[in-house]
Amino acid sequence: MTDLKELKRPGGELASRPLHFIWMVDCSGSMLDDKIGTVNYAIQATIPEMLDAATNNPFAKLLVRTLSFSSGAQWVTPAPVSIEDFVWSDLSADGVTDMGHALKLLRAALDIPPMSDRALPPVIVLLSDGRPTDDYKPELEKLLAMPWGKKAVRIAIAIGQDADLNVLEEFTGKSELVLEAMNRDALVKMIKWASTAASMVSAPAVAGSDSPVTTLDMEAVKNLSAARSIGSTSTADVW
Amino acid sequence: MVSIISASVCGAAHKLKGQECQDSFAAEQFGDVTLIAVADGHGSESCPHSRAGADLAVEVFVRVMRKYFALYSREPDTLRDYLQREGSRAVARAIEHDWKQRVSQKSSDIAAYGTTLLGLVLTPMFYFAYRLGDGDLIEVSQNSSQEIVRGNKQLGVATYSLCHPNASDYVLTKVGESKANTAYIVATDGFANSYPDEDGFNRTCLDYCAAIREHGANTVNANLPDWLEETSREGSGDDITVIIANL
Repeated sequence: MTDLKELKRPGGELASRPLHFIWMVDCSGSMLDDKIGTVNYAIQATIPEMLDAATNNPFAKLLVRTLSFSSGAQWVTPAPVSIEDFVWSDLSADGVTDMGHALKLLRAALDIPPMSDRALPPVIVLLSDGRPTDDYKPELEKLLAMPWGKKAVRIAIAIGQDADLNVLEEFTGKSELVLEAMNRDALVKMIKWASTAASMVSAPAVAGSDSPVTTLDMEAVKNLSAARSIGSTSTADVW
Repeated sequence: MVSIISASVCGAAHKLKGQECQDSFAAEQFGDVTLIAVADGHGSESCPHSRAGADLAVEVFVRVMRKYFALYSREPDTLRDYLQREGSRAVARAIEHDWKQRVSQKSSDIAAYGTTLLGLVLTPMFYFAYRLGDGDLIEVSQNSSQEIVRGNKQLGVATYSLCHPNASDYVLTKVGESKANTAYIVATDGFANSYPDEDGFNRTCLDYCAAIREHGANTVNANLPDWLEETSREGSGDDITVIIANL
């Protein structure tokens, strides 16, 4: 720096961009036993891998939360928690499928504030084995009309044959982002894949272009075909 | 005379991946006019030549604005009125057309060169600010820091771009009065995205300008690359380009 004085950087505290990841889990009575047990096991098992992925991307602050719904809905994790501090609390199943309640809580969390307009697109993974028992449509429409609702990467995992694929596709906006898990192995694999979505929130997409703005690597979605076949061809333990 | 302080650094995240800096900038002065432009190439897989697109964008901004000054060299009032009326229409279309023409000489895949573009023209009487896509145009006085043109920012990692078929439809412009003892900051979005919120970013803009007053433009200019490297490393990880025009 020639002979000019070396100065300390002016300005305030620096921060990596927040990246919110939300597990939104159907805990209705039909999820009892094997399904909710598999969800608990599989999400717990993803934590070390999500931690590794976060370590490899120090420029995004990965914040995780869990939202459960059955008869009503509630944040299991009241506030976003850094993946380093995230602890999975086992969920239990009982009651009906108040998805509309859950979408209302989700909307409040995606508002600006509390969300920052400098955040990376949030990732929301919805897991459900049935169809909503409440009037979910108005809440879903409001969610999809709000800025972060539109920009969020929305993935759904349909658990078993009774899951309402139409509702889940309404949520994701893309049929490719509705993953069908017909048995335990497939569900574990789908949850594992969905947990990696945070690392796929990637480089700039062009807004206002003729093609829809996507922040998710759709190639990675297509590569799910192998995982899909596990769920669809196995004859054992089909839910 | 307006003093110009500028630096552009490759993002810490891009360095980790072995990628080149996708930002470009230009700053030119002729007579009592200062022209500044920054461009942020998208850097995504579908835009492999976005650095070249960003280089062309800043060149085109300077070239087009120079043409207007040549046309209205004896009538600054008329030029100001014209930019006020046609900035987001005829001027925006001229920039889009010129950029696309130059890109098309290289390739038919215009999207491969996608980039944002922010520009600022400073004269003793007025400024003209141009924005297409993410980034910041900030006016900093001794006690306040405020965005000159806001409104078409996109959340997340989406942005408006010169490669869009109707890019000029998304351009926002503003003509305002040039003020003494004021600094104008033009920066790519990696700068603001490195701070937790808008307040933190605005305080930073004030602090940078206070450093210029205290230590002088040359000293700040010499320190700026290190500051921006630190900002990218501890913040967004993105490429950062900052130009400060200090009146």
